[in-house]
Amino acid sequence: MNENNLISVRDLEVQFRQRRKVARALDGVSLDWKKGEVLGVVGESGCGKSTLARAILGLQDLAGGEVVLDGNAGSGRKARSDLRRRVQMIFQDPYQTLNPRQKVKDIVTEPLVIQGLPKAGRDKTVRAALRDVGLDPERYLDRYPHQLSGGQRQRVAIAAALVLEPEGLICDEPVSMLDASVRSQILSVLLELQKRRNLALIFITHDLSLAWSLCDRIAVMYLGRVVESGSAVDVIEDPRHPYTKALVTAIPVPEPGGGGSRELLQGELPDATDVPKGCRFHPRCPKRFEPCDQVDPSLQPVGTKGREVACLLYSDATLRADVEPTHG
Amino acid sequence: MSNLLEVTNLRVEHRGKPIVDDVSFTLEKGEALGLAGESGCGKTTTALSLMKMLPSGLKQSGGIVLRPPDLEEPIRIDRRTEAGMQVVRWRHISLVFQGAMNSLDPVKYIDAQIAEVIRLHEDGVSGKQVHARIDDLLTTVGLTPALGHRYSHQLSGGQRQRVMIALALACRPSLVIADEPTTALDVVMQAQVLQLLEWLRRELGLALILISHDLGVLAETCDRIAVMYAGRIVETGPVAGVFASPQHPYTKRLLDSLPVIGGSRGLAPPIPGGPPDPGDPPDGCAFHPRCPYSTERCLKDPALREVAPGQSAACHFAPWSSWPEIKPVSVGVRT
Amino acid sequence: MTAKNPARLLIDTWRGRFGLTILAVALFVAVFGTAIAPYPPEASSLDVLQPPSFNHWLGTTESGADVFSQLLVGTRVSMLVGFAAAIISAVLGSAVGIASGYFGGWTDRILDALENWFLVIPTLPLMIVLARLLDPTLTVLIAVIGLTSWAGTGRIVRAQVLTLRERAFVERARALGAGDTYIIRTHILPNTLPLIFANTVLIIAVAILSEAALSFLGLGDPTRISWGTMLENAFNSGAPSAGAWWYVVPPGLAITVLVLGVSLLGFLYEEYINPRLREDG
Repeated sequence: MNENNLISVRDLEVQFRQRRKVARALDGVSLDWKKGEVLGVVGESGCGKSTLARAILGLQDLAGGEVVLDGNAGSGRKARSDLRRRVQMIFQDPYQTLNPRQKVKDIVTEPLVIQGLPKAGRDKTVRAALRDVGLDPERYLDRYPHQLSGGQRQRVAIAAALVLEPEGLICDEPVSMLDASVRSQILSVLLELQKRRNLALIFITHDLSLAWSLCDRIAVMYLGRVVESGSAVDVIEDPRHPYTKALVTAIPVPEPGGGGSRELLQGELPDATDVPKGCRFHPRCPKRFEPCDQVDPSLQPVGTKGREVACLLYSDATLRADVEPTHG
Repeated sequence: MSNLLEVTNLRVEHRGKPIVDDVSFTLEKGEALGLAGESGCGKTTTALSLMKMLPSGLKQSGGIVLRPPDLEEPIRIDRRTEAGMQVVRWRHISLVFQGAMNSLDPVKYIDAQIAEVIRLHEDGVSGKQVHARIDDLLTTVGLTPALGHRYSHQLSGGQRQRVMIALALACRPSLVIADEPTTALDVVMQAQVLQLLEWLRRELGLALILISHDLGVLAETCDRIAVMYAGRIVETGPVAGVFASPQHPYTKRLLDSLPVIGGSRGLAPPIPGGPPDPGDPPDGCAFHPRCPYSTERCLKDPALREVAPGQSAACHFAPWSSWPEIKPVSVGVRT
Repeated sequence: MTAKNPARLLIDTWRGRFGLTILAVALFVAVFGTAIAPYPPEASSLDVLQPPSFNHWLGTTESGADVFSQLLVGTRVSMLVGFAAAIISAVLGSAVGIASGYFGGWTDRILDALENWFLVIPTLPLMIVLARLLDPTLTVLIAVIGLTSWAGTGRIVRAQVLTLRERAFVERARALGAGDTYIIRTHILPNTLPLIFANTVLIIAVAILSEAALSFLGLGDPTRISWGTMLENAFNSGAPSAGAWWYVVPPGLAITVLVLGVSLLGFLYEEYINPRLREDG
């Protein structure tokens, strides 16, 4: 196993029972998250990005596959508790993320309590964490969530995630519910912490321009699978998978008439209970051809190192047969 | 005077405190105006006051004149009573609310809801005519007429948003106000809705007031943009001009935080602090406590004045030909 | 973002002032009733069914006892039964509600079925049957009322717990490895208490009424004087047809006023917690 990986997931499967049908929320996801790396996970809502985060943290039962922490694939209690200390999560809605009946002090101390760390150093650690997110402990320790703004609440959530000195932080849409100016403040906090502590970050977002500007690498998800991954600049500025192309085309361009004439993706994301046969994207794909409704493409390396695409246009067979993958 | 809409010195108060303070703008027929700003800046309140739909407890004053092309006389919205407004709303000016996708009646079919709106605002429309109109509306917004016979929970978010737009168009108004129409949507659905609005503008000659905190969205769809802060317009002008050369520090900082693909990556220095408390606004320029360029002069109220052709800004130091560099400040609090 | 100050609500609204006064007076009388009553409540005399006079402010009963003294002493029973039964009901309802909401699965299904049973059965007839079967003591009365009124609380608590379970802060605690006991203690219970409390206050009112009803029907503790037994005795001795309004109206009025007071406070408390609940999602 690559030592550089903080977390490696292999063929992860998560299923939900919806009445009589099975929703394949994660249908064979494989991903590497390197230490100190900022990884973006993007996709439409329903593609499984949040489920992936929860599966990594052990909040979701796996129907298949494994989560490997730092080279150790163990799933015993020791492995689980290891994971809990080393990877933390920030949630989306700052207004729901804190217990309204707990003071900031208790919220930030809680991880230390649950993990059974000695009482002695707690106060110091908590204060340091609050300072690191830009909140003056004297002013904020005794406040309740309803006395804080959205941005402040999110900072408290980040502080609570920092007290255990994790190596990785999974942020599920951490700023999408915040205003523009507060958004950049919170992102600033996260990035500064990342640099100072060499944290690995996973940024789950549907905002591709944000992912492009902040992340080292990006993984694009569609209906429970990773369909493309690579460096952020490559994936967004030179997308290969037709789905990624469609997402990138849809990004608003801050110029008058910047939309121009786009070829927009039609239709909707299919339900996870009804995953299309063959390539799961083929019904909506403008580039589909013969084998697409039969063969389910797997992630293949393409072009520059570290770039992977799950599309028959780039499969070995296609390339060998000298079929030109059209770059549209 | 060919303006479709003329708003002069609009003011909305809550217990004596201004939520919207001296807002003036005009809108031509078929023009799209973007109203930008963060939550609490007064953009939604402005929209509601144009339709006189403010919640009780808020008092509005100021001139609002609507000149629909199909009417001889202009409508003085500011002078209309509630009864008088009922014939104006939806027929000449309509609104797509924020988060409206969730306000469809869950126990009625979609077409029944559209029919209800039509019948409410127009007399003497036969059943057949209503049906024809509904089919037409649904097709116009890119939905198959068959969807009319569904319930709202059977439609996706994007489809519901389109239904809301159809509802707003039901009585063929000349002006549609859309409040954060793409906020809860995915990037693809967002693009679809914006494309739809753009098409409607071209095909139906619709004028649009688009409210959003997302400048990127506004840039694409609008001709002109007005940036609001603490209840006032701090900058306004043609989109191209404002984006290429902003004249107010707030606009500049907002634009800086917009990542542009292909440009430079990384985070611009964030705007510190938060929006002001409407009950206790700062002296002078409402933005000055957060402005990196503020000086003593900013304690005096800057008026909105023209600083470039067609472009106005409320800043003492406008016009800005270049912007001094801002040093990024470390986030953590050092003891 | 300030929550409403509870003290302000109590003092500034007429509901608060009324409710507080009634409750304060009732509490005072319940504690000191026997001490301040002008006559021993049981003491009979020859002045049978006399209208109110200087000696007997509310007249006399069919055995010549002082109605006013009985009214004062009877307060204790109503308050005692009302509060004790409500507490039992609250504890039982919360425990069931939390267990079924948090653990789900079979626990939920069984407890929910139990809850439904108790909700569907008409409470008064059930109470009557139980009271009939058991010895008529105050303890039994309290137990009977408590055991038949917990289901409503259970329902409400369960619904609240179901939403709480999915909240981010619970997920985070779970992700950190927190056990169920910790999560229930730190996250579920504190966020459910306001709801339980609001509901309980209203159950106090119901319990007071239930006690009065049961006692009126002769199922109460015959050794204790309560407003319900007063009414029972009054009706049994033909007071209404004899025109002895001073015997019938005071206990009835007392029940009404106390229930009103408790209800007012209950509604006020709901108002207090509501804006906070809304704010916190």
